Amino acid sequence: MDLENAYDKIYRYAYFRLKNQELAEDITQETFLRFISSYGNLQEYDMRYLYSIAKNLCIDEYRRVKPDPLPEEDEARAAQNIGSTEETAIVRVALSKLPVEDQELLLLRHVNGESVGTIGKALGLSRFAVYRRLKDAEEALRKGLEVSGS
Amino acid sequence: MKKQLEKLLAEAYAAPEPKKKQAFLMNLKPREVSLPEMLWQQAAYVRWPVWLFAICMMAFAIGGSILHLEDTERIVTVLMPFTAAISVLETNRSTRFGMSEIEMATRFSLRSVLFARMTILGILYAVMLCVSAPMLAYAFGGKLLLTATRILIPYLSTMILSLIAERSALGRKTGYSSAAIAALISLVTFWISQEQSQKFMVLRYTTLLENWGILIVLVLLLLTILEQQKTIRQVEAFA
Repeated sequence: MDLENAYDKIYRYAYFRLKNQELAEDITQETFLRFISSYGNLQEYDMRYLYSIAKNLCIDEYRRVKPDPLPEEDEARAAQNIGSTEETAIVRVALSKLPVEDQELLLLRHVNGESVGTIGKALGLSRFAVYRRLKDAEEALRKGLEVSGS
Repeated sequence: MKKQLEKLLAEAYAAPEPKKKQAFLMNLKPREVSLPEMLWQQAAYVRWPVWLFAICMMAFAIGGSILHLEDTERIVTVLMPFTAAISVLETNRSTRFGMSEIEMATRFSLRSVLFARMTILGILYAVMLCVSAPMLAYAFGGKLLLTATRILIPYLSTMILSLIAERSALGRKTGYSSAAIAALISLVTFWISQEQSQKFMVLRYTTLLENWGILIVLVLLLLTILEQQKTIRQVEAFA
């Protein structure tokens, strides 16, 4: 996997946690810099550690100053720009009804394409717990989509 | 269905395009690594049989000293050339397996890698000597300096000859010349340590070591350093 792809994944993850483009980008860059300061270089980078660092940085940031999400109008406009279909809007609504932890799992597994093992290490969960929670989250999302769709 | 859902999820989770990605990735540089850190990193690349051999030798010297096993000191002395041969073979591994070009293209120069590995192995065997020599001297009632010189002379002699051999055209071709040198010096050391061999010698080996041991070790040490320097300097030319 190339570095650019890893950058995109961490950035997407940070954006999901903070809902703020600038902060997400700062956190992404800080994640890579911290990885380098610990491991020397990015030749053998490991997504598990990158996610762990990013997650902790997001938590720190959230504690420090609760980040200002985009104002509702801007957010709606940004959402329109990013994914404008009606189907996407339905998925967003269904996702918003899930707990954040489940949203996080769905992002890592189905959008960033990480393995169950990587997700487990990054979030401090066993493979079995990830697998079980992922199944539950998928089921809840499916139900949510059915309700939203009807 | 799953593909469709994943596509929708990707759209739902989409983030705005990052603005500083390219600039950041282009300027991303590996952190400077300090010497101890580099040594630590390179230690991981030293193969496990090398560590195992050193640990076994040390365990044998300590165990033999505690249990007062006869001939412990002689066996340690006879085996020392092999530790030297292993060191040389280990440091020349990249050249032997044709990996020099790749290693030169890596973050650290081949010279610095070689220097680091030599230092690691040097430290390893110095620790081994520092532990074994006093134990052996104490257990068998010998003098510390005499025991240390007895152990060091075959080690350093093998080291010097192996380094020269590995740099030579023939040595690079055969690949295992240091093993042959180690075997030869080991045999000579074994022969010298036998009581019967002393009648063929002008001066008893022990007397020689008592009078000139430290000087011999110092000269050998100096020659070892010079040969190591030559190897480090010429390693890139051989690649």
